[in-house]
Amino acid sequence: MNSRKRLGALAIAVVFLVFPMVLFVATNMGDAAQTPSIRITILPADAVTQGATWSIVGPVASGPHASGETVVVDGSTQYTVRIDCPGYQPPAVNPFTVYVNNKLVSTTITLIKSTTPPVTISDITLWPTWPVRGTTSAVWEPSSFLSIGRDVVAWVTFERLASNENFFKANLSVMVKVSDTSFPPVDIDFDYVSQVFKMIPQNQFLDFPTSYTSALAGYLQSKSVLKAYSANWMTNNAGSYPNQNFSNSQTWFNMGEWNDFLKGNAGFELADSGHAPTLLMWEEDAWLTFYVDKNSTPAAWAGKTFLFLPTNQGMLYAFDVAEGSTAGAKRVWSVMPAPAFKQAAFHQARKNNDGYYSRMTVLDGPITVHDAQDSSNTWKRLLVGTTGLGTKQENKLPGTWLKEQSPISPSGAPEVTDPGRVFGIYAIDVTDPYAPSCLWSVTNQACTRSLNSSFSSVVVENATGGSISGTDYQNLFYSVSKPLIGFTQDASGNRVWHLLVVGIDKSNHYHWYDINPMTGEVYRNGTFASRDGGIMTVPDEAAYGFNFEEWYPSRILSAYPQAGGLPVLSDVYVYLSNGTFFQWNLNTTTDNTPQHLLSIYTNESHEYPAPPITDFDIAYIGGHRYLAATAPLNYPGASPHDTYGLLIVDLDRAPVELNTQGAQGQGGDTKIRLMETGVAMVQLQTGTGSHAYDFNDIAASPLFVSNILYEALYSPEGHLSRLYTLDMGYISGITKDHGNTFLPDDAYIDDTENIFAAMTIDSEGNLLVLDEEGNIVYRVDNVLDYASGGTGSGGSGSWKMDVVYWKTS
Amino acid sequence: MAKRPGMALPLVLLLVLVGSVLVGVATYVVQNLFFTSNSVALQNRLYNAAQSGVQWGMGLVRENADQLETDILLFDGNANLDSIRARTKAGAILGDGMDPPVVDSSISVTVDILDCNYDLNGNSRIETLPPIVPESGGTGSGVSGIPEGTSAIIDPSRVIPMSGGGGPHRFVIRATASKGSRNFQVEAMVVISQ
Repeated sequence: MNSRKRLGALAIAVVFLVFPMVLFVATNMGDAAQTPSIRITILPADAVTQGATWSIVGPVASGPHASGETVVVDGSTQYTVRIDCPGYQPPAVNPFTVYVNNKLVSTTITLIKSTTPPVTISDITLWPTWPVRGTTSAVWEPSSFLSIGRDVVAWVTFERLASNENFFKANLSVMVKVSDTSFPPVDIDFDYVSQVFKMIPQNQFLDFPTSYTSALAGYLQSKSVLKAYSANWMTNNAGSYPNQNFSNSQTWFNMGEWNDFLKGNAGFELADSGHAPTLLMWEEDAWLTFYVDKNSTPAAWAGKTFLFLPTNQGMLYAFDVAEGSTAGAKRVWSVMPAPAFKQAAFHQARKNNDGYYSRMTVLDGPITVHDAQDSSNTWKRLLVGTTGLGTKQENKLPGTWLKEQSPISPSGAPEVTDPGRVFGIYAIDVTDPYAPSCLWSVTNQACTRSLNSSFSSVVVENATGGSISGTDYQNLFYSVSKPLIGFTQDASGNRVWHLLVVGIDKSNHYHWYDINPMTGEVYRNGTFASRDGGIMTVPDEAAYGFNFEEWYPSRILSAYPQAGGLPVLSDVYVYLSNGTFFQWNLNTTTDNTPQHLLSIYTNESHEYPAPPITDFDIAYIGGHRYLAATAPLNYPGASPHDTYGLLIVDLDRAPVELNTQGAQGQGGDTKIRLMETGVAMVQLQTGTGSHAYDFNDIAASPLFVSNILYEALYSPEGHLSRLYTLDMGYISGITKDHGNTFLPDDAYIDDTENIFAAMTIDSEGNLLVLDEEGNIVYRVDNVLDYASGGTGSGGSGSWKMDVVYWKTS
Repeated sequence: MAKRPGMALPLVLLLVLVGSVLVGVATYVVQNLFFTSNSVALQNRLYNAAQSGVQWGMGLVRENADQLETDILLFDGNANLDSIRARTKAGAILGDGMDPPVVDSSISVTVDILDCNYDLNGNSRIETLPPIVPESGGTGSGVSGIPEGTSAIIDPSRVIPMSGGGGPHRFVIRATASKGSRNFQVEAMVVISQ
């Protein structure tokens, strides 16, 4: 090849190979050299003349910026941008997302001139928030507290409303014993006409209006609009309009429909009660009349039994339950507590917008009723409850205003970066069950948004004359545990009453509050510390796919002291939803915070906590403290499967960390799994392999009675009911600390004919298992002996006198 | 036969003297025996009366068991001990205005029923105070008030057959029987429980 031909080949190579490579490299080097930035060009020019701008609202807010301006951003990959364009229609999606990958991203937005006059918002920070609608496909019923020595049983079941899949209703069942063999369901009179129908918008009971009144408008404006009501919030050439139309003259809010909804006269009686089971309260609390003061019972409760149930309608309902030959339940009053008032009206607002009601956890938390003494030692009967999960917040949607009689609708809402929560605690005086009165409430309301529109405040409503510091509650995010009321007493006889609330704080830590139940004043609060000093945290929802506290609420219960004496708060036990177990002695001046006893896991690597499914039980056997609890067990490995387990723990022998791994393949038919010294577990399953059926329906939480541990279950897939009757004499005598051991022959009874739905011990000491219709399908007579010693009436048992010494002088 | 001086008179006098001494000693002994027996008999009568008073006090405690004050009492420092006398919740002092049954009309009996559930309240301890045994606060009775192996959860919905109500509660019953300058005291500590 001559040199000319070589030169030609080289030129061709340069043109076809080297040049594209150089061009490629140059291009990429140019990209790499670009600074990450955003440039938004707005068209037409008139829109810019009219004031159209663009802003970055997150993750780092900046702006407003002019059309065509290039804004350098940091290294994030995703930015939220909003267009503000008076006189022009905003983009269909506004704000919208811009992806930046270390280069300049340039976008052109063409706007269409609006046919309506521009809307001016006076204060963007007052863009209102609404409670978020629930999207869950199923709502679990809370397990009812298992009663002993009582003749009324009640529970709720939930079901999706047939006509509205966005809403769940509750079916209330009340069973009353009418004879030794009959415990039938009673008719429930909801009494839509003569019942007392009240609300507590701030610190007093008021009649719930049946029509829209200026007084109601005032309360809705001042209490229900977050972060604040603004009467002339948006303006155009047609006039000024509020950010939430709760004005005196509005007509869009259908009060008649809302009344029917709250009274349960809208195609269903009760909305679901979320984490709140039914609560029965009796004339007398024998723990107080027997040990503390025979005269503690309020006179107005003579011969009365009441059932209380809060529901997500935002109402607390009270039913007068009659026993004996006139057995029945009649709703006598309904009241909307102050924390619920702040959100409940949006049920109707949603209905106005969507055409149907949605599930919102407005009043989702358990309640407790207990007697306590005020500062003058007068006995009062208190009802304390929470809003449970409370309600996350979202921006009121554009377009909603148009359905609230406003001819204009604003745009450019701030971005919600943390939906926060509206959560509250309330206390009501039910000393007279027919005439309740307001005590106090605290509502913690927070939402984090851009444009300085975040809010975080604590609203205190107080009718007691006491002083509540809202700051003390600032960190409480939500609580789905049943509050606990009790007392401490020192050697000098100084008695102090306590309300204990276990919740989740804003750092996702378990947090306890020790509160004066009469006044709402916080004595103390703190987090739960582990043995090594760490702070107990709710398991990561992202990692597990669900919120442990929402699915398996933490439980707090008080046990009678093993040494006897007064029923003080010396033996409080807390089972957190992360599987840790604490003991708490408030009746002492040292170490009077929760002390970490155990951590329970379902596998050896401790990835899966074992939280409580139901209330646990505590009993004293042979001088030792025994815990019985039901926990979900998640077994990973070669044959992963989930089931429930009945844990039996000798708290005086058990190690500090338990894991239940290793019981695969062992159903609860024949063997007990021994996990550690003093720890046994029964896998709540029947059969093995492909015929292994879980007892998923727990009819009653575990219960110790006279050295027998009972638990009633039903397996829907196995069509089998089972009542475990475990002899604690046998179990406590097991000396092995690992492997399996056989159940005693009489460890359980099976029933293929009936579905076990509840268990109770009646006033004659008989253990009764009921089906869903209230039929007594199994009974064990005289498991408790009320005939001798103290009785349910408290203090009426015979007295014994012993001489300690005798001397002369 | 010659008459010698008489020996009969001194002998008689000696015998009389000895006899007198013997009589005197005997009288002394008898008198002492009489008084000793009398004192022992009085002691026994006082003891019986005081014991009766204690039994009467125990009866009062038992009769009023349902109504007894269970809150702690505060000693006011007064030696009459009125501030720690057992009382009902309504404030009625047990035995106040009542007399113990009469065992011997010549013997008076006073009965003090004192509540051991009290606090010195900053006052000095005096000899007549009964022991302090608080009704609550972990006195270490060692006996739980609920049946073995049965749910200990405290809740208004759970009525457990209960026992050991109130603590248990201790009282000192002190009965003093008096006749003239003679006193006799019997003291008993009793504990009541259900």
